[in-house]
Amino acid sequence: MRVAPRVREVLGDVVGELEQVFADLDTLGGRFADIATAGEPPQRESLAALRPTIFGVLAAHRGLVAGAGVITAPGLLRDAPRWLEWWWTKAAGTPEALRVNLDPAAPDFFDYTTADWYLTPERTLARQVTGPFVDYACTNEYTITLSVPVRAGERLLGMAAADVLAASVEQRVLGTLAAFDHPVILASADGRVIASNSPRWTPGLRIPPPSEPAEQAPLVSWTLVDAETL
Amino acid sequence: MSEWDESAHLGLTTVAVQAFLAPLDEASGRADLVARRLAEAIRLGLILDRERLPPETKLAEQLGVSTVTLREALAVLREQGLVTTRRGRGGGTFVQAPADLVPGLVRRLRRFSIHGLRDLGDHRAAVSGTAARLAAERALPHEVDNLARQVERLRAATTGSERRRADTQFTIEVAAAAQSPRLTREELRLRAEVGDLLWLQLDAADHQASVRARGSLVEAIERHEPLPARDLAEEHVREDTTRLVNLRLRIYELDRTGQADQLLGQDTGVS
Repeated sequence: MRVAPRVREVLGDVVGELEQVFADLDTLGGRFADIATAGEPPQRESLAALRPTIFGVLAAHRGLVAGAGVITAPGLLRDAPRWLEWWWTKAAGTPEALRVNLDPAAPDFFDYTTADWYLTPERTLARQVTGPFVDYACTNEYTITLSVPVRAGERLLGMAAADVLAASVEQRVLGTLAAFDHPVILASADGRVIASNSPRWTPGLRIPPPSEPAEQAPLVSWTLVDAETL
Repeated sequence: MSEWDESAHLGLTTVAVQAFLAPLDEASGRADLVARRLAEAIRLGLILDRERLPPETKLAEQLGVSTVTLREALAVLREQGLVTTRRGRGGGTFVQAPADLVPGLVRRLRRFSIHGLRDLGDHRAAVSGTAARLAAERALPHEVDNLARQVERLRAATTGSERRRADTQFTIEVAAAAQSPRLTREELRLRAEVGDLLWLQLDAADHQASVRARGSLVEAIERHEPLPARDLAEEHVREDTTRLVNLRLRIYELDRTGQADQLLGQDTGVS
């Protein structure tokens, strides 16, 4: 209980930044919806028009956002059953298209419809923050994905999403966490350590469910847990 | 290939590029090294048979080498019959995986000492065993579901190249479930280095046993049992190593009597 009131304080700055990323994803999603609903069913090439917006998201949040793009709901495009118009920033700073195997028969099939960042917002139709997780299909960085469902009426067109580097989030929150005089954990909604001021609770560890329900931060559903109650 | 097969248009997946980009960075991209790495990627199934490579400028950029270097490398591969170039509409440079991988693999295995194979096994056990232990401590339910799905893909894989890909994917996902980018990268590197050798002399019964062992590993991860998970992963590596050492011993024996070619004629389970 000592920490609950302070979750907003700890997360104030980073939630503000993530709010801005979400706002940019709303814009990207809006343009995606315009393309997807303009006359003929879209094809892969139609989505190329989104690249300036995607590159804009990457440039606006350099150092925080490592990748961004749109992911189509299966069957949306007429020339590919599944597709990602996804770009990530290489070390040199230039955007690089993600290439994954989208053939369902392939042993390394990248089935994004089973990924948490797709599955959950598909069901809830709400913004979603997933992770941290190892993004082995792309940057191989420890990553938090923000995803926004894009709809035309009742119909799901796909997702607009961005990958945030977990290390950047740590950098933004740890100063505040370090000021606590007892061990505290910033944890994801599904119970994974994002950051902590305790060497006992390094990022990536699973935490047991806290005995008292913790207050979730707005937007990201992250909680601040008093480690001594675990 | 189906009309919706994207790999033909896209070339290498990002994972495949990451797998051999790092070694290229260290050696300033000489053409023969690029050729060797691409040849390995073809052998490992990272690049599929009959896959169309991206345009030269694009591929050179992906690999971080100059177009000139890449062109030289492709000429080497063309000579080795690993790629073929077709002109005109629907043309391009296409991968041509060797029909019989075994002679090349036996030659590669011959370059290993028994101690080298044991050392390789020790390295793999350290990485895979730790990844399995940490995955059992750290994996969340949706990550366990992913692993279970990957075991099903491994079970469904029929050709040698599909099995190699599915097993590599499984191994990488265990390391990812361990929440470790470094272990993930290390598994990928080990596979790029020796993944093809692991499949020598693996018959259908071996494959089924391997699928069962992978299934048990996922169960241990799901039950959050770190030490059993580590033991299962290490045991899997140990079996690979024993098989390779046995094969290496036979090559020594056959080389002594000048009969090594016999081995090449046998069904070694690699398709």
